[in-house]
Amino acid sequence: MASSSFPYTQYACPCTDITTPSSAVTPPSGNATAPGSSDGDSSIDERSFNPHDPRAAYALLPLDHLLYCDECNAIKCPRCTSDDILTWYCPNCLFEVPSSTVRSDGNRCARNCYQCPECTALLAVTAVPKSEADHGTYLKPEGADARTAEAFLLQCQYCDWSTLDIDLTFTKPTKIAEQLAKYRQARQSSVSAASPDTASEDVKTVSSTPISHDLDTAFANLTAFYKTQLATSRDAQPHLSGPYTTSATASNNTTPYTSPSNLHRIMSLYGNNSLQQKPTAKPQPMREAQDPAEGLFTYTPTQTPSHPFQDPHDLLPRPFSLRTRRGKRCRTCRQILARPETKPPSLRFKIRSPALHHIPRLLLKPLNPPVPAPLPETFRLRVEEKGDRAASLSASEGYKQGTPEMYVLIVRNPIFEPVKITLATPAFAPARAGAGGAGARVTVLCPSFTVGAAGDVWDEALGGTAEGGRGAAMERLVGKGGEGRLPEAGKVWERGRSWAGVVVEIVRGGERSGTKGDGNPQFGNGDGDGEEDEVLEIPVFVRADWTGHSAESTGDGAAGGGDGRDGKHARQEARRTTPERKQQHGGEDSVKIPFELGYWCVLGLEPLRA
Amino acid sequence: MPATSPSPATRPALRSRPPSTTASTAGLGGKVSSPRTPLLGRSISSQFGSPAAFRSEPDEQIVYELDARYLRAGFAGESRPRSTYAFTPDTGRRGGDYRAYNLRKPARARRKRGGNGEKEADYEAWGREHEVYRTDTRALDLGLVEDKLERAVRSLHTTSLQLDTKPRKAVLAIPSLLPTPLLEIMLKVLFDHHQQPPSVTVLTTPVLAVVGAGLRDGLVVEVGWEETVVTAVGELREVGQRRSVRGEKMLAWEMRKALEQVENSNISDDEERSDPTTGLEEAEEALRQIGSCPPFSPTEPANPTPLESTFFPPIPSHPDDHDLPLAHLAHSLLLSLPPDLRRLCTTRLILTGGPTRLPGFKQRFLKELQHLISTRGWSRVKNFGSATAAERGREGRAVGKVKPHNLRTSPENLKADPPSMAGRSVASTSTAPLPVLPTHQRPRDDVSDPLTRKAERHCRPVNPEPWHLSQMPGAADSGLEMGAAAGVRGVETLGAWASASLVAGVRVKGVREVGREEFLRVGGLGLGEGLF
Amino acid sequence: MSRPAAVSRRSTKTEYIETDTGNKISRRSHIEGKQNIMLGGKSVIMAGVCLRGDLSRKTEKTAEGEKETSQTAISVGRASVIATNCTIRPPMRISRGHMIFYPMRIGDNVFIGPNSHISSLTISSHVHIGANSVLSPFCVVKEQCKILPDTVIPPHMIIPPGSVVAGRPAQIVGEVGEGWGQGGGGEGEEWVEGGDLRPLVRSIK
Repeated sequence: MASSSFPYTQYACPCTDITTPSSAVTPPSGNATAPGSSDGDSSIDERSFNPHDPRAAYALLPLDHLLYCDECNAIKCPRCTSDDILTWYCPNCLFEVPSSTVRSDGNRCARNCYQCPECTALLAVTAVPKSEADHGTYLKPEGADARTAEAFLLQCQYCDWSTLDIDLTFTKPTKIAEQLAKYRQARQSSVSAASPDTASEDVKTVSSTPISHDLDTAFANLTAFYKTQLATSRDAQPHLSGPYTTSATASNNTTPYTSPSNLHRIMSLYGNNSLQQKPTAKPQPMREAQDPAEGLFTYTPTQTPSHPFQDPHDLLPRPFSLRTRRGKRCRTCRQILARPETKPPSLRFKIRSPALHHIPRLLLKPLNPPVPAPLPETFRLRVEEKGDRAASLSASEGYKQGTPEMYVLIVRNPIFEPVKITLATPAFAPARAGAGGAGARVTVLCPSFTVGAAGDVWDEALGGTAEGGRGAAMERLVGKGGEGRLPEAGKVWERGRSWAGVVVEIVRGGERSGTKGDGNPQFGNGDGDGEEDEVLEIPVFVRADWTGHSAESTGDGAAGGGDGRDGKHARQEARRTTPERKQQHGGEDSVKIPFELGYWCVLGLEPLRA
Repeated sequence: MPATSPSPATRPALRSRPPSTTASTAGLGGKVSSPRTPLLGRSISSQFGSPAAFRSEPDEQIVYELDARYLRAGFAGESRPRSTYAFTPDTGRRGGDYRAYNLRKPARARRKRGGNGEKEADYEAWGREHEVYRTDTRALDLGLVEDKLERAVRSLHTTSLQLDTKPRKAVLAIPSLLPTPLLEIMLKVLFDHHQQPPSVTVLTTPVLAVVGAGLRDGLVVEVGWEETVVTAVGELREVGQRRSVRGEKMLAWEMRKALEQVENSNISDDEERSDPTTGLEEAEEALRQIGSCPPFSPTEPANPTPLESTFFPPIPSHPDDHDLPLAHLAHSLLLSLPPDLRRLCTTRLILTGGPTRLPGFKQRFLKELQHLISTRGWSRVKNFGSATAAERGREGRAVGKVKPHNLRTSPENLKADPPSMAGRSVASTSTAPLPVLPTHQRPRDDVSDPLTRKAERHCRPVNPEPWHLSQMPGAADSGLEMGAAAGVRGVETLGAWASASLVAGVRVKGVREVGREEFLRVGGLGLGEGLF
Repeated sequence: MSRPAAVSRRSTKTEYIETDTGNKISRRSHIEGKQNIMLGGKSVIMAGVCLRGDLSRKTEKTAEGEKETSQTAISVGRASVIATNCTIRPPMRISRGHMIFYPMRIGDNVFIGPNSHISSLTISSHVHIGANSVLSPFCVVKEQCKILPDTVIPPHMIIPPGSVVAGRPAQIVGEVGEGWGQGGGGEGEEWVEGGDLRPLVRSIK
């Protein structure tokens, strides 16, 4: 979805340490988090978030993948949540699989859901047409008229591959797994029986002809061999530690007293009339395998070891892999963050706390949108040519290098308290090092402002004033009353009930303040990779402060102050002050506790069209 | 960890394996010296507890294998990993980025470019976005490595392992001499994952390869991504190692050069090339389809195929390890081993790695090595130079080319020139060689006791020098033949992951088992005496 | 004169016919079998869409005096948007020489991208289907799925809820986030995939 709709916003979970200099020595090649072009203001750039850093790919997520933990008051990404598996189910038949049989079935469906080996689409059980005349007319899904059909096969609905291609037909439409297993074994034995006929002049090697080294049979043979060897060697020296036990962490390796070998030994101590005297065998080290039955497959320079390069025609249909329904828990406080219903056919959540409902959301929109406003790409209602779109955009937008463009950054507040927002961006949004795209200079005209609380839906609908509701929406669509309104620094551009918009000025191009304009002037690589190179990504650090009424005193009341550029720093601070808060507000109810949240996000803008 | 783990003899057989394996757990082979309970097919403990309790198999372990380009995971006791996670640019995308499936763009543009965006024309940066680490950790962003590995482990667990949160032990198979920072990162990722293994056993791939072949000694040639490692393993311990940068990466590079040559010759000058550089995926695909190794020939080929020029190149005059062909590298390692291990290892050559599975590779390697042994023997001195004649005369041996099949050699054969490999000119002697006797017939100047003489009479010449062969009339019995001519023998192995699964499956305790609390408390340094 | 009146009347003809339940149907769409198509409220059928309601299963038995009723061929839920040039056709199976059509159900808040060919048996709610996709007969799309553009879903495939599907043939390539479908529908807010599509419906005119 990254490039699917412009402009987009992606959020970086604060759990990453990408905003601090990495612990490894920063290499000269510029792999570090600092953008390659930082020379002057290193203190800021060092700790800023470079969205083009390869590490950023592992930290950024769209908002719907993020969860929020109430207890820790932090955003949780998939890395900081742990999964509980609720059910396993087959994606095709949507049947639940009991957990005891999951592993033994190889995490695959056991109920006749098979995948085509060539195109991975679904295979359907069809009856083999009996004669030429019936071809095509009597192809039915399983169950209908099964009694009259003699043979069945699996046919792919998409690529028309069928098991006839590997000469396999089934006698009945159910219990395909057994028939497949039989077929596989038959094929296995036929392959191993046919040994390759390479003649070797200098014979007398340990194994005469190489048998095809099939991984599974070799594995099975070797396992059995080693087990017997271990048994022999362990029994021969039950009181010694064998060669495979460590001294560091092993407990004593004695077999329990009830094992037959120990019993034998003990009884033999007390004189043995009935049992045979066994000669004390010298403990032998484990011997090596000697032949293919024990798992040894050899070849000499003149023999061809068999390479099981699998012919695509030898691939068998395989069952669908199971999928799981998972619930998510916070890793630190073990609170359940998302718990869906366990039934596979429906996806409803019993508990869900998405980040959407807890953190302020950002969106960048052009200040003067072209009319009619182009729809986001995923909601495009007409398929146009790419050239048209580009032409229309460039005509109306005039994205040129060096021109300051005005955007409105809309911040929406989902919680029921007014939130004070502080924004911070590095002065120079970095470009991909060495790419054709260029950076941009970003200025937020009003970095600090307050956004109102989100009320109920009724309040919104009933309040028909300029604060929210349809009035403001109409205004925005029609055009601001007064076109001559200019964005001013320090002032919020527009405001709604639970949202506010500030103007952001973006100057594309590689110029920095100063005369050296060594930003890359060329655009586009000509590789067809234009989108990725040219998309402009602006990192913004958002810090939200609000006071919450909380009965429990586990809020992270961090002392405000500091510019809060470092999300991790804030988090650590928050953790430190929590115990103090607990003591102070242990028993009080509905105390106003200040909360704070800080995170980086990346705003993506459309690529430059020169 | 159960305090009294029952011995394998009394432990009942494991549950049925997935259909892919045909495990036969019943039956004991060989003689056993004490009575034991036969392995049963059904569970015994149903007398003591509920059958369901036993069925849960509390001791199943998860086996991981870490490679520069793949991470494999699966369950112990199974012959194949459940899933392989490849580190490609596509798996390094952001969450929610489905650009890879945008079918409107050509496949090349769909793939994410490397972080620097530079062209892939530089050997250093070749394939960088396909690997998770490089062994040169100075130039490595360890945080990125950790991110990649964390995502790999998470995705493996979610899609294929699908386990509940019961803590299970883990086994990790890593290449030998993996840099400690990388190992620490991998262990940290494993311990941090919500699966929470209580301990991780660390194993190295050369020893695993030997175990997977059913042997205890061997010479393991692992062709990896960055480098090829030749390891000599004796009694399941690594005793020697040589490395060379001639690995898959160089092979793909050579393939790319070959492809571009073909492309250049096909396109006229005024046409524009749509794709300036061949990517790693194309080169590897081409290798998979048409890669093969031509058979061994004594002369140098005029147009070496990519495989040949990577692994069997011509030798410059003063080669270092990285210039040597693989067979010479193996030979130099064998030279440094004690003779008894040398004999064992020569007959136990294990080749693993992707390129070794290409048709013709194994033959070529074995033949080259055999040829090398038969020409150079086991003398550490390659070339006696001006002292060659004196040396030969003094010792009474003929250093010359030996035809393995013709043990009745005549002086004419000795005069035949060896293959013209640069730097290895060995002249044949002009004088008639003195007859050489087997060890027990030679005049000795030391006083030997009857026991030694008897032993020498009966033992087989464990290290037949070429001069023995050349002058041994009628010595065509099988022992000598095995020792010399057919002395090179290759053994197939299960591979690193399957061997690790085998080892974990038979409940062998690893030498290096890293406990979770200990590791998280003190990190890698606290493991005491290093990890290896 | 009638002609200017005609001109003026034609100029006031809108693109969409609005029904009293709030459905907007484009005049340039091709709808067959109107009586077999049920639209929930506030759905949009855009220009060029071909709805084949005539392909419905005819009930065989007719009681005395009753008219032969045909079943609903296509039923669309609330706030669903079917973009331009789509083809919606109920799936068909041949049995004993006859063609049997199955009724097609499309759920609420479903967005079907332009130029798609839909023959699925069921599309549940909150599904977002990209442009140029093909849903072959008898496939079933469960709720809260996202189908990327240019996907071809082979016949009889069942897509479990909450999956992201792409490719030809379609494969499950991921899962939607937990917060998918939330957050849209506020005043003036951007539209969210899989969320409430009423603002989108409102904005189409």
